[in-house]
Amino acid sequence: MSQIEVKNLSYKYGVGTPFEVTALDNISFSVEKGEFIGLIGHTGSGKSTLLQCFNGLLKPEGELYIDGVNICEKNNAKGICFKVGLVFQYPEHQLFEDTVYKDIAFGPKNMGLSEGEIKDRVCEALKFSGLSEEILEKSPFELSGGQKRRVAVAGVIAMRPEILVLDEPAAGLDPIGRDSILANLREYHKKEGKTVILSSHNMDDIARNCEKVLVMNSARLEMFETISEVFKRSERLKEIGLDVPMLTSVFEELLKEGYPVNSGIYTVEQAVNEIIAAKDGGKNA
Amino acid sequence: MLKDITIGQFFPGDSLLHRLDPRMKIVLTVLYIVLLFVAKSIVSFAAVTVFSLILVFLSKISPKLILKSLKPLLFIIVFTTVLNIFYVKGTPIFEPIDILGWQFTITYEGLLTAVVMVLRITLLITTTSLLTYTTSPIALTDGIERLLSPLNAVKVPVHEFSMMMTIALRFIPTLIEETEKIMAAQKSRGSTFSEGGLIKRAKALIPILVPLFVSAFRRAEELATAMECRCYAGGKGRTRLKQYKLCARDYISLLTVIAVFAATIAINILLQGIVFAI
Amino acid sequence: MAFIKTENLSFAYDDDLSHAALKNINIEINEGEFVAILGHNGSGKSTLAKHLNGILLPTEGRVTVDGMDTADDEALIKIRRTAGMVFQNPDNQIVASIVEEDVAFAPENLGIDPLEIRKRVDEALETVGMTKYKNHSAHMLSGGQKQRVAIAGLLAMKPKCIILDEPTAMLDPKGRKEVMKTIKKLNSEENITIVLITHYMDEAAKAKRVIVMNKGEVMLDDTPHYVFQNAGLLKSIGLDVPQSTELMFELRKQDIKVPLAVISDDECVTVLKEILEEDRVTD
Repeated sequence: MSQIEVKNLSYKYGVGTPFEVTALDNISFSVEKGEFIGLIGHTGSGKSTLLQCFNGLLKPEGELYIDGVNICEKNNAKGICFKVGLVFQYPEHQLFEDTVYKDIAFGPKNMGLSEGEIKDRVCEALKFSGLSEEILEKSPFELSGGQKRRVAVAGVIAMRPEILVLDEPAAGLDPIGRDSILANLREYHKKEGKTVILSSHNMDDIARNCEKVLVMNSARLEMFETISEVFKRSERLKEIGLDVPMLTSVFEELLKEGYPVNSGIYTVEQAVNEIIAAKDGGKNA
Repeated sequence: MLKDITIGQFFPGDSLLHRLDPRMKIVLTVLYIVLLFVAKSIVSFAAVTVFSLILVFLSKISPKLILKSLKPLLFIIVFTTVLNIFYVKGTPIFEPIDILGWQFTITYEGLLTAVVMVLRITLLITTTSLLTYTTSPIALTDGIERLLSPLNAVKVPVHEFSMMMTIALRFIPTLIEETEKIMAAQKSRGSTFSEGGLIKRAKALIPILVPLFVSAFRRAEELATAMECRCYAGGKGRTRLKQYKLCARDYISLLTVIAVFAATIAINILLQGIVFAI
Repeated sequence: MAFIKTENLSFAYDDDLSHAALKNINIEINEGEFVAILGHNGSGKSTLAKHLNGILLPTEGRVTVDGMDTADDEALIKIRRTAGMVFQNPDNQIVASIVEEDVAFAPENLGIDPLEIRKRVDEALETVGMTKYKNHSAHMLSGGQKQRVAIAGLLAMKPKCIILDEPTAMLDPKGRKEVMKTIKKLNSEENITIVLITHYMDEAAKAKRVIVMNKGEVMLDDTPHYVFQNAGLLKSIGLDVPQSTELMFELRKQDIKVPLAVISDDECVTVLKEILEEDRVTD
């Protein structure tokens, strides 16, 4: 059985009020252990709702199996937040302790672990986030924006979740901050082999990190395919209000005008190869 | 959910009530509340109730919403009813009922008092809700500011108070949303808010309150800068987009309410001792 | 004369210039320009922006806006109505709950006649395309819409210049597009001087001039085409370059002759078409 199995999952906000909204509409898919999955969709497409279903914050209709346990059933959701770690958008806004150490230790402490175990986990999580041990005794409020963000992510990693779910972890960061947090994530994924689900508005970030992509549109699951398959359908992505990498559009345009190139190009490297191949092809023809 | 609270909410619209001058609306609401306590006989209550229903109709606000605003007070209403029905002494309507050895008597007077009390509370909430439903918070604070402006002469910082109110009203929904987000995030780290004794529960609030305060201070600072950038320098020399000028409909409304008021007093006097006065 | 001018501007948050946030900045911005200031966090770009309408005052040197010195207390209100500022967080700059009442905030502060305020508010909302929402609650709007309301709030002061401090950093792609479209419109149709602080290179590429900041100093100051030619330099200071620019860079390495400065989708398509056509012709 897959690690995550979602079957006919639906969720509505404000049931019984005039403001009832369907946020998830009959969604089904499955994720294998160790996959790095991207989640894209316009604002209000149901992305954040889906993420909050994974760790039991919301109680959807349908079935959601994590390691074979249906967490939609009563009493099964207990402790699921430790198994599926959820990093919210702008997670630095939830820091509250007077030292970085205590803040990272908050999750493990709620798990009821021993002091020694907590310490191990804090140090390990800190290492993944690329921060030095000196900051452990500092107040999280005196750190820079990027550092705060990493401390907050470390606070979730310290719970050693089997599945790590992140809602726009790079939002609002500059290119350095964004690249370093994503590099940490890649490193974490590689070393730990844990499943990672990454939601982002930035298609380049998705393209650079994920193997497969969930595309949400108006509460429905629009696509669930590999990166290049998804970017091959750039027209559709644009229709549902999503960006595509610049080069994807460029090659789509070339293809439309009858040049011998492939669609679904999203990196500079692919583009260079494509151009060289097309040139050579042109010569041979 | 925190979002379900409708008291103090504003529903934009273009009804007669929406268009009334906020100063007049405040004055009329106050008058009306006084009226509710002046009314003594069942006849005048009937009149006031009909008048209130007309107001609801005129506001074009769905009666459902009005009922919803009563929901938080349901307990008080039920409590008052029960208390009055059983405890006001007078002529019993029927023989005392015996339940598990307790004697329950419902008196005519008790029933009447209960009806009147429920009506009073319901009408009080309905009309004050109508005031906030049909008046934007800004217009409301504006109205209060202008009604209180004579106090400026005695050095009461009326403008500053109303500016504080304006900003508070603006940020309440934002902070509610933020609280919900922080709660969800801390729950994701294993926080529980509804377990354990009082001290444990109070402690569980720290992970919510600290981030909330930090964020509120950050917002306050940024807002202050943004206000300065928009040339805010206190109330002196400020003009307002919305000019309030009392017009025909305001005076007519005032006259109507005064007429209802006078009628109520007249009924009180005329029917004294004839129809069940309370 | 330059509209905004900084002369030997240096600034340190604690007045100790040995660790200055801005070091000896000399820039001139003319009326009607669209300038982007690009840099990573901590490069000094936001600190510089806050000097351009007197939120911060120079530790050393001088900043003038439309001939007025920002250090002159008397001129402060006038400077602020000349050069308005939009901030990053859309929530924290809207003062009033209802859209049109928020837009009216600045002219109300300036003591403008109510009839004139009405006119300005309507015009400003029209310009940013938010007329439909004038009676809406500001809290219910999307991030992009909130930023447009914030811009309208400045337009109601009739400023000559608008400074935007990372206005899109917290927005989704749709919101970013809305805001960028509005900014371009203000510059081209209303002839408002725009200073856009950003770390998104695609936004900077839309400006007519790009100033690159690094470690409190101006590193490059030129047209976007020229600035993005320095792909290596930009990357070394933690900035991105457009994918198209990077592609050109790589194609050159393969001995394919392409221009270096290609910054938009359309340009890139044209250039690639040329390369592919070339081969067909030679065959």
